[in-house]
Amino acid sequence: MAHREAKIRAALRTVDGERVRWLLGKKGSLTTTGNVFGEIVSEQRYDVVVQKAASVELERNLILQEMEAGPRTIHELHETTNIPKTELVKHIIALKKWRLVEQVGMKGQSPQYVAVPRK
Amino acid sequence: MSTDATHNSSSTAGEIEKAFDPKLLVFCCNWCSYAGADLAGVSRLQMPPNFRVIRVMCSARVDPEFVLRAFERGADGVLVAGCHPADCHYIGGNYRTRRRIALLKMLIQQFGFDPDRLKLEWVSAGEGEKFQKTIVDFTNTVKELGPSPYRGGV
Repeated sequence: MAHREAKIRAALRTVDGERVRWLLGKKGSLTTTGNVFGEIVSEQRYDVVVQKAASVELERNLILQEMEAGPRTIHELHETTNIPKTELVKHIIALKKWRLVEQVGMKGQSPQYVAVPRK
Repeated sequence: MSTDATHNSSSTAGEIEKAFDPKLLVFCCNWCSYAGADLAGVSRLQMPPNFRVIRVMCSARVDPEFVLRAFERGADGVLVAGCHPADCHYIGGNYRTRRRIALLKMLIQQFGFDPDRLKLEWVSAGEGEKFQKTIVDFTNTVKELGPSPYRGGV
């Protein structure tokens, strides 16, 4: 149940997030007039892109929520979120790139990460 | 005694199944669907009584958060009713709603909710019968699905 509530909170952050909101708002122009290069995205392709973006954002928000509670290793994140470790590593790399996560130390052989507080 | 207990337990399970009254939340847009619901009411069309209507100025006013919060707080199903495409009072609100609902259906699936628990329907002000039919169909669908996972269902 707690996991499901965490997912609901992550979903709320996902639908409030810039990436998903931007994609939803741009559907009309992307599927009719096209992007800045004039490339028109088909409806099917658009649906795939939105679903993929939402799924990725949901996982990232779940990870961020976990790391807001305190430093976590990849192994600990895997135990609480059930996201495969290979995916977790990819998400951590992306989150570090956007400066949403930082490494704070080591726990044994594993680096610990924590969410950077929101301004 | 044990026979009674067995009998009671089996009948209780059956009663729960029969007595399951889904809690449905219906968001109606002010200009079309709410008037449609009103028409269904004044026409005395028979509908199951287990839904609650929230009037919003446009179906696009239904923030995805409202839907997620509704499920979080125990709603078994959420119906969003808006104007037909191209009939929106605010020009394109219902197109936005359509995109959001498609996204939400995908999101709620990840929590173990059946996407059929969320429905989007276009109901105009003159479609009282369509509103009634939608409510009856949606209630039956949710009854088949059973209680929401948040209320102990699957």
